[in-house]
Amino acid sequence: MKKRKTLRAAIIIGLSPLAWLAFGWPVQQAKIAQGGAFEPTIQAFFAAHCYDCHDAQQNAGNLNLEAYGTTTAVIQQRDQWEQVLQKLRTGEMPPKGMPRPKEAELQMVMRWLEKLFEQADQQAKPDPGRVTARRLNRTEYANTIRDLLAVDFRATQEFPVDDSGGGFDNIGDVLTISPVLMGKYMDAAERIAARAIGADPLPKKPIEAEYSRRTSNLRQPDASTVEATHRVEWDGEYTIRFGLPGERPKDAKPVTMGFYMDGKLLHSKSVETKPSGLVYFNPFSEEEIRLFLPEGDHSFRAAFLNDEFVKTLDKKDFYDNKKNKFIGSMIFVGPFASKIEKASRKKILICEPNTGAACVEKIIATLAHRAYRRPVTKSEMASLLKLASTAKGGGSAGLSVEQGIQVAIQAMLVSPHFLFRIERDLTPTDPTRIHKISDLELASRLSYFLWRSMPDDELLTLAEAGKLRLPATLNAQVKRMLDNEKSAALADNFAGQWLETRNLDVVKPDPQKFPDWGPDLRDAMKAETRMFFEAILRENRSLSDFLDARFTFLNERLARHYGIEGVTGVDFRRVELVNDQRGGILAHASVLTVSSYPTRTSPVIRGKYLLENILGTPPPPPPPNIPTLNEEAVGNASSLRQQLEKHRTNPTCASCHSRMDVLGFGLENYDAIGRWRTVDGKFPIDAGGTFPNGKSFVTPAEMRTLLKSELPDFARCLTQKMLTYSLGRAVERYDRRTVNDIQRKLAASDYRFQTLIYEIVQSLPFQSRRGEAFSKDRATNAKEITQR
Amino acid sequence: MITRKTLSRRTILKGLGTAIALPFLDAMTPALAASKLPGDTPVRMMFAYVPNGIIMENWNPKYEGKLNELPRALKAMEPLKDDITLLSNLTNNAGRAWLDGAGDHGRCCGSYLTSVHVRKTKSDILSGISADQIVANQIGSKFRFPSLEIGMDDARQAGDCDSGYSCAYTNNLAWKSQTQPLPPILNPRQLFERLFGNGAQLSPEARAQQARIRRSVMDVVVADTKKLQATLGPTDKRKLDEYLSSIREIERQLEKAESDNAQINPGMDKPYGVPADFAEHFKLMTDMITVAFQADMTRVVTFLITSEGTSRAYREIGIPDGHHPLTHHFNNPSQIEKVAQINEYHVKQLAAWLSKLKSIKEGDANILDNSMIVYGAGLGDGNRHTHEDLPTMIAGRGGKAFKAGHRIVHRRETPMANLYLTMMDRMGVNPEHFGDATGRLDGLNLS
Amino acid sequence: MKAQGQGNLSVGILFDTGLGNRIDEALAMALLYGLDGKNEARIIALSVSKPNLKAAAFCEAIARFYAGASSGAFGAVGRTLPVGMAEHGNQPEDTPMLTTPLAKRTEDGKPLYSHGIEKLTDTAEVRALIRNALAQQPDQSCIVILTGPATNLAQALDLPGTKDIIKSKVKLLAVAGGAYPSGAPQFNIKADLAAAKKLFAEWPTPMVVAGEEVGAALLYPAASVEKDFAWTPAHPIADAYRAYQPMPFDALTTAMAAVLQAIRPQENYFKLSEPGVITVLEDGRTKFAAAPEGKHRYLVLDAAQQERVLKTYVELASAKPVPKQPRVRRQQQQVEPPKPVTPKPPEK
Repeated sequence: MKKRKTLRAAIIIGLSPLAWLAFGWPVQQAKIAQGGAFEPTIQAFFAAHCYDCHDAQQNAGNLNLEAYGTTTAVIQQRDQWEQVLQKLRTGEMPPKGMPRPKEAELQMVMRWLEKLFEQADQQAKPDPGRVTARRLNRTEYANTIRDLLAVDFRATQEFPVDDSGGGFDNIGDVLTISPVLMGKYMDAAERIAARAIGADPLPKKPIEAEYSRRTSNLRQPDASTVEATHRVEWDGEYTIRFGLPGERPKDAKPVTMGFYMDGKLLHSKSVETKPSGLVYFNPFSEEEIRLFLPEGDHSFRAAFLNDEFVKTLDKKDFYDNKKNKFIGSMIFVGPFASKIEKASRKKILICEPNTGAACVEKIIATLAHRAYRRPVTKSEMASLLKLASTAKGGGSAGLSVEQGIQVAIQAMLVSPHFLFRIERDLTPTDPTRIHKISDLELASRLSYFLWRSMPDDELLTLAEAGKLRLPATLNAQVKRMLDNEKSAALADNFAGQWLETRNLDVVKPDPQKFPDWGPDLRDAMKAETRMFFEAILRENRSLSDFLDARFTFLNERLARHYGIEGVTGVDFRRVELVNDQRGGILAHASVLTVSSYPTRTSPVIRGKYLLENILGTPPPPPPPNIPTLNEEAVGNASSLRQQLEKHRTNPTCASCHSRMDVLGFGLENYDAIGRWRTVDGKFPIDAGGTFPNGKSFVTPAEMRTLLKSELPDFARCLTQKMLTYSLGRAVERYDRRTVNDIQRKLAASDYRFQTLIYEIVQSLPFQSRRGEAFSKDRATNAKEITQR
Repeated sequence: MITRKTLSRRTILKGLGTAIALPFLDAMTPALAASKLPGDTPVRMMFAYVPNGIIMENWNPKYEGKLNELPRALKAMEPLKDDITLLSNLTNNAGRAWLDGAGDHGRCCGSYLTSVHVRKTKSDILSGISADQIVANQIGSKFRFPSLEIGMDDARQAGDCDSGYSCAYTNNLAWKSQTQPLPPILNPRQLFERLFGNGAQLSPEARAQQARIRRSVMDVVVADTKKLQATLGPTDKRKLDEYLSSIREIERQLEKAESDNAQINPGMDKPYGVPADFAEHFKLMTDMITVAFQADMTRVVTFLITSEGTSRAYREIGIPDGHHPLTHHFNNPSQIEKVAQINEYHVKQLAAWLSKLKSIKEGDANILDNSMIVYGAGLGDGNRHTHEDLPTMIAGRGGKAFKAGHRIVHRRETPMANLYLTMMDRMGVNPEHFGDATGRLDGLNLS
Repeated sequence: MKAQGQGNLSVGILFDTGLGNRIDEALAMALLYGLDGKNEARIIALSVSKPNLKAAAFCEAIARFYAGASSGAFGAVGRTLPVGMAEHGNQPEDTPMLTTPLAKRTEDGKPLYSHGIEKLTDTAEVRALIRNALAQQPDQSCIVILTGPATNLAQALDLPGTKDIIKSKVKLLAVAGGAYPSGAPQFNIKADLAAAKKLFAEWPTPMVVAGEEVGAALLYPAASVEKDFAWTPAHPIADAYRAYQPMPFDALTTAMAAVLQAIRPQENYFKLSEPGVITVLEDGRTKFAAAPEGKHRYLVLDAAQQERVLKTYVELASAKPVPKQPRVRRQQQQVEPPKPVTPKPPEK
């Protein structure tokens, strides 16, 4: 043992003079030695600092650096070596307890590797990759129906969940069609067409559906909220009547009652809660509103917002009508024909169809053109028209002209040209043939990237005129699209999946431990993150705002959650932050909640979340059979931190957790639903930490500042995620070059968010595609012997 | 044109949102069954899957052979003791890491019914055709639905599902092709509409017209698709194949629905939304499967009770922590206890349903007798992610074929696929080989 | 990541034995674990080619003795590696070299050599075991060693898909059996003639074969059993040896030769015949015919090496077990002297 240490020392001494000499020039050297052996200095560095564990015998972390002697070998195992570089950069390697390399040596080796990779990327033949035909996912389907026919269709209610890949649910390879889904498409097409034309007669008499505590079909998430899933059978106006049993003390203040459909606030009004003065045996009052409701299953919610009063009540008195006023029932009465003509009819019937074939043809041509996002071929038109007329001719009933059009629409909505976004190649099976996608295909890529919906007429016109690609035009269009409110889709879909805040609908914090948790808080959390993301997008702010910003968006509910004074009412507004408890997405309750267990926080999950979603360096999965940490024991014997530190004495664990846990602990001041706290159970919170590279912090704010210094990593991470999302395919090795370029451009624009979008739109993979080799599926692989 | 019936007064007064249980009118059963039953006994094959493994000490009895006292996890099955078979030591080798590192949840579920080591990927998924679908492809066309896929877990929709594995692997059991999983129906209403039509009971004329229009619509799109396909690369072609085969399936169902003029009356109101309560949800889904069995609408069902790796909490029984995190208990007794309770809770729901199936006469037996309902998990010990000795129970006799009432211990490493082969035989499909099977399973059959 | 560390795994060994028949198989197993302890080999599966629970039990007892009751195979740290056992086959009877060690008890009456095999279902279905174990290995990273009758391997060849897996995962089959270039019918071959025929005819990878003449020329010194195994009072191999025949006797070592050659070809302990084809005759004799593309070679004694080979036998077979645990730092393991670092000269 002794002998070896001295030996290592000897090497370092022997090396360091060489090192400062060597500083800089090995970079050129790498060029010359391309494919050749390592320079002695490089070799010596690894020998001195790495071989100790990463050699044939030890093979720690399945990495044997000794086995590498040439730059070609390094390039062949690129991913592994990217990790090596990463670990050197973060200071995770060489691990604690081993002598630190001299900074100069470290810099030299890192520069050398970076340069090597850069060269490799430069020499690599550009490859745009190939996107598999993308089926519209549920969001895209709904949005497209909205923009095509002005019909509000809730695909999420009707269609099965879209599987997601790489963290996003618009990945062509993963989006499949099952018979069940096809059946759903059939039904949907039928219903949507009918609703669009509005040929369905409304029932003579309005129908009444009651949801009440009595019939116990009313959910009561908390004392101030009621929920019910109700199927609206017809588009139309409805009267919603609320039964409000009970009364509160004489001095009770009025409350605002909000009425939500699928989480969206439709209406709010103030409600008196003190005794009415009228003499009731059972105090009771009613409120009534009238609204247009779209057909479909909707979850409706009525709630007293920011209901301070119930907090003062005993659980048992919640529904005691002498002590409290609460929402006891919701009654839907309708439909009533609405005065104004349906938007969908206005949109579709651009001329009077009964004036003859010419108009019908015009209507159908216009629709198909937009539904297929390209001009319609003669034969396609022919068959659509034939459908419209045969439907009319045949059938005992005999259909009206409008119903004929309805059938044509029905057909469009199940056509592959509508359901899929298909891009064509001249030579589909030649992977070497790289070509630009057509202007029309580009138009669809743009609109589904920025809007998650079909291209509008302006895009289509430009594309058909072949003008879309002109640099000026293209940027102008992107700008126009970003300014359009439809670009909110980026916040809902991209941010919602990147930051995993979509899971707010799935996570279920323990009501015992977190009585505050409820639908209104959940929705407020969502809103904050969505609006914050939109602000950075629309104001084209720096990406660093994500990591730390002096403003956010709050309503009263969330402000109270954060302990921030002076924000009242249900409406959200921009709030400048006065203290440094909050700032940036890492202090958003939404993010903090989805990265926790239902009952408690988990520094490991949060650390992993940061590495994956913020720094873009997901930790390698734990080696098999290394027990993951038992966070359960926490709170009894020792604090979570003590637990984790014990766990980290094992070098194998330490190699990843040294970074992951520090990040996670940096957020320990926020509990499992994102409330600020200073103690956890009986243990005071210690959120401080030191990164492997020696930089340390005490408060979350300080950690955020440190993270800002890793802005380039964050930008790279975001770039990869956004690229995945924009293309609908996983980011591959050959995309590195694109990612690097964009990263550079971002740095040059001091990380303005919109730069990212413009650059992606300009990038090779977004603008081009190639054919595909046949040997894709390794069907003959020995380990997949059957059913292939 | 589609004239839709206005909701019945009764429905309205009762208010929507709740669903009443099925009344099993004996009058209804024969009517439905008779219309369908071919000469042979209607043998059904079903797989009900629970995630995150089981506390095995509570699952495996200490003895072999005839079942007497059942271990804790299976207590609820006591009344059905003579109708079940416990199988031990069955292994799913395809679920093991091989060289793919972490991700046992993704693998064990993706390979459970396919017996194929799935590709580790977040996007270009690759598994194999699952056992149930092989049967569905063979005999399915005789029934209104070749197969039904149901589930209960509205799984995570963002992030990764298991280190490096696409959610497609953890959210699906049935694979129609190596690249096409069949997503389970989670929403009781959607299942209802799939089985009994979308609620609007149409007049025969209206239904005929709807069918006619649909058919002509499909003719058009099929024609379009064929033209289109000719010009595409292999993967895109495959995508459109999925589309086409799905259309054909719809056409087939259309004919089926017309040929058997009996509009099936489910004897229950259309359910609305998804009940928050696990037991209620479970009951709704299985009640509808019961009707589907009674009416012989399908012979093949897969039931992904909750998705693999799910972190669903079970407040219904006072367990606020997520299922998956709990199963990594590192022998912490309080955690093990909670998992044990979840295991029991699942089996309890199942037992209740199986008893119902047993109570429904069919020929000289009952529906349970005529079925093979496998209940099991893709992991043995969820804490250590073991792929051998998977907890596996078959309820029913597959129509007088299985002796049942026994625990059969097989030799170590015996492939799960052997069980599938044995069941396929019973379904009248006799493939030479499946997955990594080494043969049929002995000891199960009477003979 | 798939590529990671593949090249760094030591060669995976699938060991199939007629344990209980001839003592050299027990010695061979000891030798194998000696190499396993040095990380020169990594045992991925064990199977016995006879329907005899005692054989399987003793096999597992030996495995536990060396691997500390656990094994890394099947990602199964903390669980014993399933031992495969033939359902049909010859020499089913219990032999003293199995029964005697297994019968030994500690003073508190527990079995001296623990194992978990009491009944058929405690053993693994052998074809599945072989296929499953191989399927999990990197391509061309495995060696199959057969020291007993070919019963199991012959069966495995018939399992659908398995031949392909063997082809892709296995780089070599080492066999103890036969006599070369010619000689009397040998025990392992006769023991299951049909299987032997099939194996030599159909096995898809290269084969090296140790004939009886090699084992007979290098006898294991009885003295070593008393001396070198004495570091522990309870050594299953030593006990088996003593139970096999009245001591002292020197045992032939055909099986050991196969193992040594399989794992340390580079040491040239033996010479190799030119490539050719071995065929098994009706009477159990083996015939070798030279052929340039032949997949078979047999070991040829190298007089100059005999001393060295015997020394190696003894050293490895009597080596102490090296408990396996996740590798971390060399500091926590036995330390070999560090090699001086010699940077490669840059290419000019």
